[in-house]
Amino acid sequence: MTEGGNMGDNFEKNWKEVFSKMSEEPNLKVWEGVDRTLANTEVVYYRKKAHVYKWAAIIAILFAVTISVPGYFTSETDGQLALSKEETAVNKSIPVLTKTEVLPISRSVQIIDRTSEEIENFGAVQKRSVEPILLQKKSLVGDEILISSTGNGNRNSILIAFIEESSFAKKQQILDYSYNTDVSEKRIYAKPNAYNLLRKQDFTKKALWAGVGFGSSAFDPSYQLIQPGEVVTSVLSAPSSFQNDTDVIGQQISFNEDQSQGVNYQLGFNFGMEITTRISLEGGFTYAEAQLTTQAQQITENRLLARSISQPQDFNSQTDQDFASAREDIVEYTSTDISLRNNFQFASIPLRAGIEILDRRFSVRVNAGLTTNFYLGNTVSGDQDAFPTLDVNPGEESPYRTVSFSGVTGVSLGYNLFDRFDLMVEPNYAHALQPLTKGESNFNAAPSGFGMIAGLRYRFNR
Amino acid sequence: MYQSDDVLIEGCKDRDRHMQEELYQKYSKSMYVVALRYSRMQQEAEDILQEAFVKVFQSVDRFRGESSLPYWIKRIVINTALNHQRSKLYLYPMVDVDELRNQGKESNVLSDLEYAELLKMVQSLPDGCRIIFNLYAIEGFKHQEIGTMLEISEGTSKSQYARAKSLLQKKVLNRYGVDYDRRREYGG
Repeated sequence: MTEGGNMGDNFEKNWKEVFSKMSEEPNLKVWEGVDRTLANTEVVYYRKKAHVYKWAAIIAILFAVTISVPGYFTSETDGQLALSKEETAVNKSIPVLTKTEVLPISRSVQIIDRTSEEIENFGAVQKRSVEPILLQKKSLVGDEILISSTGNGNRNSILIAFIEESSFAKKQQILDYSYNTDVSEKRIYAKPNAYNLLRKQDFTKKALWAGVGFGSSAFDPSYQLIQPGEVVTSVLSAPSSFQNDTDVIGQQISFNEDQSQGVNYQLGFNFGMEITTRISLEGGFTYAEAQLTTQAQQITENRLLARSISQPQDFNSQTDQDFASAREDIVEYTSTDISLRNNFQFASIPLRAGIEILDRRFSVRVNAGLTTNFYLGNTVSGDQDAFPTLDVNPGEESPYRTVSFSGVTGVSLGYNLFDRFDLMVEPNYAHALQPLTKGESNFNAAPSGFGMIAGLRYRFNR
Repeated sequence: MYQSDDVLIEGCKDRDRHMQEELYQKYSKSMYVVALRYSRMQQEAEDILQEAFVKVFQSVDRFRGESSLPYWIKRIVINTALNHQRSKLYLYPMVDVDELRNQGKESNVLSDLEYAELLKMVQSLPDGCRIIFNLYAIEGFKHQEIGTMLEISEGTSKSQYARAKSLLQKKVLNRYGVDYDRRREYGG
């Protein structure tokens, strides 16, 4: 096929000419069908997109939980192992270490005694035991280290063995040691000196941060139509929304109303501070827009009034005239499929607490908190001229609450890019703690959804 | 007044529903005639038009501007119409292909006739004839191209077209008393 066509025969040329000039208005329902199909396609698109977000968030959360839970439970043993100097001064007995058996043994060395050597340390000069000492160092996550021996060496021989294992000892600071001849196991408690100092310095340096982030999430309004009414989502009752024919008396009832799951886009900044070595607080400001589609079927009742009035001379009174007026009501119902695009705008102030699971070049923090959402408006636009664009602003007449609250939880994953900048990614889940709509509204919406936020964080004092 | 095609295309690529509607309004009337030519009934043409415009909007990202926008839309309408008709097609070769050789130069006798009547004539053609008549005479495809599109031989396309042409000539003659062949023969 060429844009010129077959021009060799007048038969073809004539027919082509006839039809090339012709045009005919198709039925209005063709566009309505196109429009409805496109709207449905959009819904499917958003659903698929939301589905991807949901699974990405679930996988990320599962991943984070998988790597963080063991660390969390392991670090719980800190309290049992942290034997203060005061405690040991009073009671030199060995504390009960109920969870010793679950601790991973990082290294195991066997030191063969060299009897000719004397090593001075810890104020003691001891000759080593002639017997082998099996030295086990059980490393705990980031804190105290238990060194125990099941060999026959005495206290100092264990200490010496510990000191001798230089690559390990250099990094540690001996806190205290316990020794009890009544039990077969000898124990020394050490604190990883270098790491501890690092933690201390780190805490004072990274007390504050600020960041920017953008993200997207599913926006499932959990829409419920409480009572079919005159309007779609109560917003189209505005006089400008429907242009009623003055000859038509009737009402419009919307039913089968539903809001599809949409997508929420957000942009904001945040700032935070550590209040302990592991607990942080974070706040900020976020502007968000959520786009979704309302679909409904609207039945319009058209009541046409037809009157036939007799000749005036036939009337003796007004009553006669009334009787003489033959009145006929013609009731027609028309059904219209309606598809409306909603564009919600919110300003949000999140306040969250976080527990730090890991803080190295790669960091993991579990956050949870409350978000205060300020409803800024909803722009509703239809696909037909009968439904002009309408702004549903906050206020007394709005079906939406001006302020609402939602809970949010997420796992913040950070990576130190360079210097003071961290790249942050956070899969999260938000759920409305109260409906977005007012109690008197004829529909209910309580948005929730999984999402993903990405951003940059700047640490002021690294 | 409609926006330019470039503006409409960009709007449609952004999934702007107003731009989509404007593009539909701009081209639906002419494309409806195309759909009508390939259909027997109005309802069928409307289905084709609806399906075609949905395809237009869903595949507008692939429009590279290598041809004009109406030409591109028309191709989609035609392909959609062919898909609609494909199940109904049972094409067999005809014997007489001589009428294809008719040549001549005369005024367009059809221009005086009613568009609606002419459309009815085309719509009343058997399915196979109607499609090949449209593809060859109106759209300008070669018989070889039509054969490839419909998975038939070039000869079948020619013979079906000859039949369509013959039927249309008879219909014009019967309805309006215009002898298409005689006018050509006597230059009048």
